[in-house]
Amino acid sequence: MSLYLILSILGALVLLSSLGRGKRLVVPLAIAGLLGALAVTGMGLGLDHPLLKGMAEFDRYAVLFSCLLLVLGTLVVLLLTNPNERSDIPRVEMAALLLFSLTGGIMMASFAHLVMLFLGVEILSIPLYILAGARKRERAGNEAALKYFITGSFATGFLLFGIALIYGATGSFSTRAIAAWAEANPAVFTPMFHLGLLLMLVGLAFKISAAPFHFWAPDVYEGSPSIVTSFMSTVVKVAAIAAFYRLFSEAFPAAADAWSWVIAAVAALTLAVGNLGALAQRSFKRLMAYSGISHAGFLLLALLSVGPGSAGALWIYAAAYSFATLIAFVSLLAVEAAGGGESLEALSGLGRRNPFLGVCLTISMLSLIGVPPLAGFFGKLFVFGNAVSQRHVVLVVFAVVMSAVGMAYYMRPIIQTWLRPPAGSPFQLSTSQAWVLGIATAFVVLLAAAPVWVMRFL
Amino acid sequence: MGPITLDHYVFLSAALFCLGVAGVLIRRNILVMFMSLEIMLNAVNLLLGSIAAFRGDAAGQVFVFFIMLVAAAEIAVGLAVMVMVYRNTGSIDLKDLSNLKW
Amino acid sequence: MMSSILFYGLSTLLFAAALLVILSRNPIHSALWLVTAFFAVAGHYVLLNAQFLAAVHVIVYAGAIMVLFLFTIMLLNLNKETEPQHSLLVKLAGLVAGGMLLVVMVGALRRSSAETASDLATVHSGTVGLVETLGKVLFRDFLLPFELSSILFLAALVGAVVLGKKELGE
Repeated sequence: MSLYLILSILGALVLLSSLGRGKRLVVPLAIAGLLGALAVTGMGLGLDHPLLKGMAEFDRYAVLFSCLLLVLGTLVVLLLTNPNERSDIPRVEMAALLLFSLTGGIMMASFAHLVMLFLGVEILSIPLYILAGARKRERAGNEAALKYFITGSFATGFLLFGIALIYGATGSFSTRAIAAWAEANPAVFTPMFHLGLLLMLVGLAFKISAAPFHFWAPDVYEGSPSIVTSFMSTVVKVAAIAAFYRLFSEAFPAAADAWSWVIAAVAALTLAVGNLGALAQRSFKRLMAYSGISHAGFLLLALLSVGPGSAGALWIYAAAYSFATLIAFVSLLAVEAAGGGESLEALSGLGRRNPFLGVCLTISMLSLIGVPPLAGFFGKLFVFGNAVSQRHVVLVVFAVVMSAVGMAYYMRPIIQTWLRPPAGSPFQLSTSQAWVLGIATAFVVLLAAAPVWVMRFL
Repeated sequence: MGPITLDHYVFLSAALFCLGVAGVLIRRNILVMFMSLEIMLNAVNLLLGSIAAFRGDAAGQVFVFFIMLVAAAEIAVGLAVMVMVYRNTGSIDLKDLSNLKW
Repeated sequence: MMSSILFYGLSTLLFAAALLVILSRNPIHSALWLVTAFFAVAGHYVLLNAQFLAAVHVIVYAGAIMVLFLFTIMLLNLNKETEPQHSLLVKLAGLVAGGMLLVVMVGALRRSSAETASDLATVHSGTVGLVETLGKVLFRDFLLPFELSSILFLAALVGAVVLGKKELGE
């Protein structure tokens, strides 16, 4: 409860600060509020409240994912201080919309009732429909906003029809009651229930950009301002997969026979589309979009092996993926600010133009490949290990092959960075970029120490 | 004609929902696509409303209020996006927006 | 018997109106058919003894959303019939996709609600749709989402303003 309150009040305060001379204080205010929220969540202050009864639950899963979302949100808001970010939406409104969106993400990580899931998805998405079009006079930005809006609303329609059918079958929206119903009715096939399950799966697959519902992602990621893309590919992806896992592990564990093969098929297809699609990309931004699709496939593997330890594996994987991705987008922002474009060639010689950035980018790419001892390695290790213990051996072998394909395209930015002649003169990072890079890189390196602790906590 | 049961409403909403889906897929006028999205949401509303009535459980009808609320907010944003696109391109036809591949 | 006739009449109207929304060439015609469809849905709510829902539905959809649509059409002067069409293949694919979804749904949902099956007539004696019941549920069980939905409105409000307003340079 306290978390919802802090974030929504913070959003309103940020909006109010545009009156008078408060504009300079916007980002510091938002950062302070977010750090406060993080502290409150970490200490578990007032998270529970009678009002939450039956609607949301801040269990350990929700707390851990809320912390991750808050850290990612703080880092993205920190990037807003960059003076040279091109956007037609004023910084105040951008910060407020990001905060609102983050609130939706936290609702998705903590819901216990389908109305909260639905509202969370919408509160997460609606600010982003707007932010995707933040460069109002650019055609690509317009297209991105429109495409994101239409696919997003389309997906919401599926999610809602699924919810309605589940309600028709079980008579309740509460995840606990649905799970109880599914346990009491272990029939092979209950039309309303299983069709509802499938439609909800489709709706959420759109949100995590899993194939075959991924087609919007590359265009939307490319057309949006890089700072918004960095939010979409980290906070949104983490919130969506957290909601996905929470829904299927809390409401539908008894029906696992019915959905596990669907998820397996979607995961395999997503891995293939994401990794093979990334090979063909020439733009770094699009490459990261396809990388996001392929990692959605790996995250679905964690969903497939619901059981002890799978939530921890999911968290580690999601954290590793999102911090590494954030580094990649900060590099992109810095290169753009230094006059480069979004193509891979713009990265060439980055290691000599700004060694710190080059090292961070290299660490991020190595982590995304899954090189030990970086965070990405442990994510893959736990996710694959869990999936093998649930006898999804063929799928894991396929995923390992796809990771090897991943090596081929993640090496390209590294090669550009270190082995090509510089594309321009050396440049300085802005203070906020340097901070974000440092913090995110520290997480990628130090998360290696966290797995045992996370596994024990969850 | 037999008595009207919940099944009738389920089929009606399913048909309406599919009509909305087909509308989004076959039309290129953005406004009409938005209208098709509204039809999809109305199908959900009708389904929830009828299930709630037949089950004698008010929660379903309260959920409908939330969907209406979201639909209103969503369409306001959607139309704002569309106005922005129209100002820039002078068209609301998807083809003129070119790169949009479906 | 009476309710059966009403059900089939309203359903036919609803389906036909929705079909015309997606088939009309002129967006204004689509909008007007959409209003018809909304009223047919409202009729269904009344038939289901959910009068309050029907009233809210008319106010929100026919009142707010339709006005927004019509305003946009008028404002941008979009009442032209010159929409170039998708290629026949895309249209066919869209229709086939919609149709298959329908077949799957109808096939899957056949006799699905047997356990709750009761006549529409029994619904008429229920008190589910009354304002009193709905209000109690909304403000007791659903209070948290009700409050949180204000964030959604604030975000949509901010968004519509920042997207809609003209830039200084324009």
